[in-house]
Amino acid sequence: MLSHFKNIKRYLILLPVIFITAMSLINKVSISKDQNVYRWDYKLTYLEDSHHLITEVYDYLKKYDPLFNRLLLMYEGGYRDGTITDEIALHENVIQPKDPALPASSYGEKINYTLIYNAIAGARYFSSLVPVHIRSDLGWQGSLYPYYQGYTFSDIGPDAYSRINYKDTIAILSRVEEKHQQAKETLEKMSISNISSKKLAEIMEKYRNIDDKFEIYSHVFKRIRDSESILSRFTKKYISEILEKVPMKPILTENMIKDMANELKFETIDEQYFSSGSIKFKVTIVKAVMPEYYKKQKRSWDNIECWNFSTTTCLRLSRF
Amino acid sequence: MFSRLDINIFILILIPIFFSLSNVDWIYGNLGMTDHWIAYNFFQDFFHEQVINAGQFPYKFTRVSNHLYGYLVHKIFPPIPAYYFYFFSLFYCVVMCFYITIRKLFNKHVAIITSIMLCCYTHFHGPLSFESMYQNYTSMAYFMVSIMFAVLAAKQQRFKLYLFLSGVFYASSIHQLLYIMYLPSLILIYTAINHINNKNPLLESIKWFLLGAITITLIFSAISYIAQGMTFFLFVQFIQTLFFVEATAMDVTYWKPLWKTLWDAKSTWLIYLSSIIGILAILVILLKKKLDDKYCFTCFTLIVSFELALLIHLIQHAFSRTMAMGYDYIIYPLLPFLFITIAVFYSFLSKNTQQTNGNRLVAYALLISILPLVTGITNPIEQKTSNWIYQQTLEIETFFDEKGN
Repeated sequence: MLSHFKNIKRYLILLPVIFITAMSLINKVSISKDQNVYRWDYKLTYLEDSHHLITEVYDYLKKYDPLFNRLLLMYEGGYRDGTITDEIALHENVIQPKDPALPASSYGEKINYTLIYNAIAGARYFSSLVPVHIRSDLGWQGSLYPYYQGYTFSDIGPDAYSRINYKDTIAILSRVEEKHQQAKETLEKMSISNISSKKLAEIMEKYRNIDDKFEIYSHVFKRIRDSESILSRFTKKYISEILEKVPMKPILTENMIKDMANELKFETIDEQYFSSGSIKFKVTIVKAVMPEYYKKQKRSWDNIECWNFSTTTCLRLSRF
Repeated sequence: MFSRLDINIFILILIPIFFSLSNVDWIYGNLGMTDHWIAYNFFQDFFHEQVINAGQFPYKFTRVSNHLYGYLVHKIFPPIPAYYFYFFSLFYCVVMCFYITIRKLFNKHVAIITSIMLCCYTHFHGPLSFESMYQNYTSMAYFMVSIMFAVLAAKQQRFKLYLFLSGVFYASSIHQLLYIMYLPSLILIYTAINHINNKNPLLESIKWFLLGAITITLIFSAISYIAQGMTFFLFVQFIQTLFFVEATAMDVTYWKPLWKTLWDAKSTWLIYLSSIIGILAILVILLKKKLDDKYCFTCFTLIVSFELALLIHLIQHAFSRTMAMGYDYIIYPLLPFLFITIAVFYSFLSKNTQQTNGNRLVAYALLISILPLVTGITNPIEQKTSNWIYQQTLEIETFFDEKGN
């Protein structure tokens, strides 16, 4: 009996192993449902195909804008008021989850196209990142219709003019053929001849109020500048530099928006289908044309220097 | 022949192959998280000057050591094979270096068991759903190499070369700035292990470590300058981090008290539990005055280094309000110290294990660790497991969800 007990005791050595395994399992089952694609014991067959597609689309977009300086992504979908609006598509052969309460992206293996588009946006993110306070004006990741705002292709967003001012090449992403046409028609509506005076007035009004968005960040900058904490001593000079050199207001004026809208035209440059496994979608490249506006008005980002710490392009910041 | 090659290495090589055979998707990340795709931008275009749009906050570029490795791999291979190579090279790098470190500190048996545990620990695979292109993964690999060389320097000949390499890899790991916090722990490990082994002169040690760190930083700075014209990339990252810390302190961003983060960052559970056991072990060693014993001194040092690293996280969370314990991905860099501490616990439990029993235990450890993790990989869980197990899983999920909310 005693020797038997000793044997058991010997195998208690495995306690840490059992403990770690238990922790792993607890971690796996305790992750909340909307995050459960994190659990790698579910076969998410679309992941590898998605990876293929994202890398292919990245290379394709580079052909039209090698440095991604002028490219906006236009894609629809995501969440609005907690509800999925569009582009969450079911895999054709997928089995619906037995429990209807289960989320879209786990057991049922639904393909989330919005996530794929978002990843494409992420893959070219850096080049579209602008000063953090100006990002409010430009939009997250340089997307014309950021998913988190829930815009659809049928609507001109309030920041559309300033986004096209920054970036005049638009890549429309959608798996639905008709959506491409709809997106192009919506872009055409930005021209002064197509836009209603009511809509333009609405955009102007929203644009006037955009100062508040800028205030959020300039407020933080100013608070840090004026703060007496130890950390602030280090950041103060840096912050002062930003406040001094980078404008804290929207760069477009109402007249500039009207000038743009006056001659805005869109040309389709290219269309291409991408597919891998069961996932497929189309990319349409559209270019905004407004030659007189360009001649008359340097585009806003052309006027800003020293956005980065590059000592080759920004000699005034040579100490960095 | 096998004894020279160390068969345990083959066991460790096989583990991710088991995972891959069960589900090839396990190495692909969740698409919704864009951070690793942002890194992908640099894997492709590291040397393309992105002047206009580099932004006021070129934060993402400053992870030079991560981007450069990804860039080189993607230059050699096409995208998908490059991703495989990138992922597995880093996975094996962490696991092998961990194994060698523990083997040097304790023995092969402790090393293989704890390496198996590390391989199978879910949070090692990436708290943000395998965001392996995110700098977390590369920085941990560099840091693990740095620890390994520090231990080798303290126990082997040619300590200058090892310390130089340790410095090189440590400086590479701090491109994720969190690793700066672990320098005291790294110094402690080296100093203590060196004190009971080689007794290398400390000034000489510091000199060679710094030489390695400075050399690689200068190289990275030159590469960073050539790539994007940014020489002092670490300074830029430091300044920006301070800015974020400041912004957080002003309640601009999200912050939670420590106890509330338990549900958000469940990887902390293992850390807190290990920390409590560690503190008890420290007290026992001190009260029993066992510090003269070589083995106890090693254990004591390793546990203290973990506690020290954790303490810095806790202080940061409590006083600078940076959520240093609030997100799994911020806690992720603690994994090397955590598992070294677990190796200490295991070495204590298995102190008198015979070789024959040891082999059997390795087999059991493999089974216990891998089987639960591969269950349900090939098919969605409701198809793979019995209905009863599935229902239990759902109940557990619901329980945690309710608790979490």
